[in-house]
Amino acid sequence: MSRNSMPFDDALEAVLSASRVPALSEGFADRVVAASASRAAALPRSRFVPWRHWRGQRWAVGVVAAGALATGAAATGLIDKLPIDIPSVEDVWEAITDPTAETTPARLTGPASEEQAVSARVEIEGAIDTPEELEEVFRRYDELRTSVRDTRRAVNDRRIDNTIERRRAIGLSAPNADQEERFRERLERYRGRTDARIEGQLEDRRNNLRDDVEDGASLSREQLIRRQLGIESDTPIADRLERFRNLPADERRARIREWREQRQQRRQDWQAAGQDLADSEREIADELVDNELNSEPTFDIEPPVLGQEEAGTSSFARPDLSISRPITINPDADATTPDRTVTPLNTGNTATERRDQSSDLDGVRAQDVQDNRSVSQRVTSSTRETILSRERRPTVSNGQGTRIGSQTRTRSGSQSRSRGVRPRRAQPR
Amino acid sequence: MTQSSAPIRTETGNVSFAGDAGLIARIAEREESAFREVIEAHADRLHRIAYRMMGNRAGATQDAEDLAQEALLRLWDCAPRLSERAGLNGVKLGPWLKRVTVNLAIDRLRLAKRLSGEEPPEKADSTPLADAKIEASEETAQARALIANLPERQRAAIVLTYYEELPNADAAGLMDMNIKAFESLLHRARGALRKSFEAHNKDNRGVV
Repeated sequence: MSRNSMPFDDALEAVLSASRVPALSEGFADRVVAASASRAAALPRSRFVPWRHWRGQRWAVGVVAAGALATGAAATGLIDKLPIDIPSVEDVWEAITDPTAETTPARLTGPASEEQAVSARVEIEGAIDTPEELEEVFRRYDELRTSVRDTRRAVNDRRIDNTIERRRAIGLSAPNADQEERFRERLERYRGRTDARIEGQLEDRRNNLRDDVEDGASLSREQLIRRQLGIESDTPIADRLERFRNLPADERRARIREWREQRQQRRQDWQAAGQDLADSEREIADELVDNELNSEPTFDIEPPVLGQEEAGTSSFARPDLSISRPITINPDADATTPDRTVTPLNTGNTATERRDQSSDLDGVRAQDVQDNRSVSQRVTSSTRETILSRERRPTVSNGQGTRIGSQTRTRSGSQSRSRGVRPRRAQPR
Repeated sequence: MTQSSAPIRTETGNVSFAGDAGLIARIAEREESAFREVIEAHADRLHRIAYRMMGNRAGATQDAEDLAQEALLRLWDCAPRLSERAGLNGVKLGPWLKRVTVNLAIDRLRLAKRLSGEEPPEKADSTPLADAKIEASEETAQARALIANLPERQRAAIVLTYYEELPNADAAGLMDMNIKAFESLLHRARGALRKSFEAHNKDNRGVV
């Protein structure tokens, strides 16, 4: 803006224009230069950094911290659902303060300890041709086998505990203290018998291997691993199942029949010796619900009972599900195997039992034409087994036999159809 | 001020940028000749601004010289920092020095107001001013009295736009103001100046 553009009147313009400024005194420049010589040094640069004072930084830190806390809380919640064994505080404290716990290994003394110390130092190089190396192999195998066995048994124990707990939680019958103790004893007996049998087999085989090594033979890894046995004769054990699948149908059925006969014979031997009939811990656990519970019912909840007048309202008579005596089922027409007696309340819940049950039903179809009454009764009993094994609903006795609620029967019928077994309607008596 | 575009070789042998940037760089290297060059180029204008900003206070001439000197010494102090910014933003020495001078003057006026506890006189001081040459002119005294009646910022706006003939945009930049705000300030300054002048005329007529 120039002076002329200022909207002042002439009088004011004249006054303002009359203002004069005196000139600078002489030596001004010299004085300024002289003052600059004595000027203090410039201040250091300010340490103020704008982004460091950004308030959003606090928010960012807060959001990150909150997210970390939320993630940690969520992970803590998931721990309960994951198969992770977290020791309780009591367990940890007990492990710390337990005076019986091994803190420092004691000094090895005695022949057994010396043997362990020697075997611990053995290193296997190449083929196994010395007794020390062979014993080291046995020791390592025992470690692995013991570890696997303990893990498997722990899993089974946990599965049993979970089953019992789940049944209690949903109101189904659960074993009482006596039943559970009896079951545990049975399981321990089975384990002891299994250990004895396996150790006996192992000892025999190890003695043979020791004799071979003492005779100067060299054992390779393939000879010691059971999975590779038979590979020289082109029939390794590992391929046994595959070879079985590739067999012709007739031969496969013959093998199955042969295996069943062997198993039946084994069971008879065990039964004669007063031993357990189970083939595995899993089978024992599965039979927990079926055998132990149904032998002594301990029901807390009374299920609905099909009343007589209610049954009479239907145009079709309901099948009589009451079973008061064992039913004999002949699985094969040629009767090469002894008849198998199925106790109505002893429902096979394992895969083996289910396969047997299916075979039983096939046998029932074969005899369908011959004896209608027998068929209806057998099918009813098979359906009954299916109902009990699948639904595991509480049953009650009304004095005329064991009955099931009508709702349970309807659902069990649909499940039987899904397995390819169509429950047949019984003839009215 | 010399506005050469060729590179300038400093006393220490370094090649600096041309123009204001070169001068600032040389001052940053404590080259006395460059500083003296800036003094000769800007001292008069800085002194004028400071003198008019000081109004009709006693010792205004000395204060104006002090302010001009202080502004130039600020350049001496800040030259290293300005040298770093000169290459990026193209710091202009003239506006920078004017801005420093105006700010120093405003600070000096406010400080004097606080120390004295008195408002600036609304009328022309009847006592003789320090500078006899300037006081010899009655119109000059009247003009200084009118300017002195204005508040500091209005006074700076009038000095920069009327006496220094700076565009409004440049003056607004010197005072670190928005152009709209500066024009509003300038409008109020002109009105106040006009009212003060009319009041002064009424008083003179009443006296006569």
